[in-house]
Amino acid sequence: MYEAEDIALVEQCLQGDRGAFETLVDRYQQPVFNIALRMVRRHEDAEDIAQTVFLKAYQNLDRFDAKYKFFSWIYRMTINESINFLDRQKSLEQFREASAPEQPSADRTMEKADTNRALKSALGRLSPDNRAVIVLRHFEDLSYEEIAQTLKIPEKTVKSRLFTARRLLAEALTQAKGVSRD
Amino acid sequence: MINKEYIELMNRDIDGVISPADRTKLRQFLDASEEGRTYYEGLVLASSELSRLTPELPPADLKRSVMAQVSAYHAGRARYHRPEHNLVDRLFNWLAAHPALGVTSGAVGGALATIIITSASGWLGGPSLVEVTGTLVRQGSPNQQSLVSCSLSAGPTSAVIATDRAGDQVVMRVRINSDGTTPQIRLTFDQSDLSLDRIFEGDRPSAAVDATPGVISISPASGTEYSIIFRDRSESVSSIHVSVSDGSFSADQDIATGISVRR
Repeated sequence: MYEAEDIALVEQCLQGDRGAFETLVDRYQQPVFNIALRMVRRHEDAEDIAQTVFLKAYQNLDRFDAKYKFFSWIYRMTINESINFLDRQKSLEQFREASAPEQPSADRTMEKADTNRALKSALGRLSPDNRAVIVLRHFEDLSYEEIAQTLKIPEKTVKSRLFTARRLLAEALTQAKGVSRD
Repeated sequence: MINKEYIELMNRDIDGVISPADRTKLRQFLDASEEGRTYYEGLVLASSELSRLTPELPPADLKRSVMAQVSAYHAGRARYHRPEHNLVDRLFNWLAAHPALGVTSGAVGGALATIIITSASGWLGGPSLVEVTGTLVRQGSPNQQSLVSCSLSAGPTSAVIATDRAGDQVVMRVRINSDGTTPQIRLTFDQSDLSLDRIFEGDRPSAAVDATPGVISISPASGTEYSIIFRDRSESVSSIHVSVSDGSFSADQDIATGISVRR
């Protein structure tokens, strides 16, 4: 992680150096995009969210508290932006389709692909709060403490959401594997 | 029913944050409990499948898009802070203090102010009181849904416009905000390929719209939302020209319909 460097870059941005912000975008575009992608599932939506997050970050850099880690701040914005997006999309057919359980294939040769699909589908059925914890733990490799700081929730809640989410994913995967082997 | 303590130990083991003593305790539990083993195997499966989802590369132009928006944001702020904004008040104050100049009506004064501001901006090389910001365009094939959105500001009037495309249907949503002036939105499009299907004001069909072939003019109340639905017979129409005017100023922009990329 580049914590001290990030803070120096933020300070340079605040002094009007847009190149410093470009470095931050370079550094965080992949995790921000991937967090959004795992949260909302569609590439186009993830791209929109990533753009919004970076612009909001830029507009609010003066509110960034250097006591905290920059990645934690921008990841939180990404999660919040994704959850807001999901709230807005809830009523749309697109979201219903994305959240609907997928039919696992009975073809054994497709088992791996089915498992992958089942996992993505199960991720889509998790509540946004639970999904956020899974995304930060498994895709961004944050510790319980870092997730708690990022989401501004107690570590106990992080663990509770993470354990619940894993159990739900495990159930979905076990079921999918069982069906594909029948 | 598995004791919460063991569920925590299983998860800590998967996360690699378990002490040797706790690991031994967990092993003893798993050796003795079939239910525990099944539960643990499920968690390991979920965890390993998650680790197989590799990170995806962000779109190649994401950074460029972000930096373009940062530039647009700066341009907007620069305009917002320009002293020219105060010129209107200063001009009217000046006109009010000099009735001998013969300017007796606000309309005449407003027109004069517009001319002077426009001229002054031209002379000074500065901006007018018109801006187009936040255009966000996504590339996509005609059969993919795409979205564009932008904000057009003309003096105290602004419009937020977003477009969705699904196949041959293009839906343009417009919301206008104004501070009491009578704004007008005008959409101009190539009628050889694009035809107006329906217009909704909120969720009701709207009749209060002046639509002639290729041109739609709307004079909405502030806060009104319109959904304008077009049919794109060729699925190739790339943009609709939108202008927003408050009588004194106007801003205009080609809004992409989801095929072409314009920034």
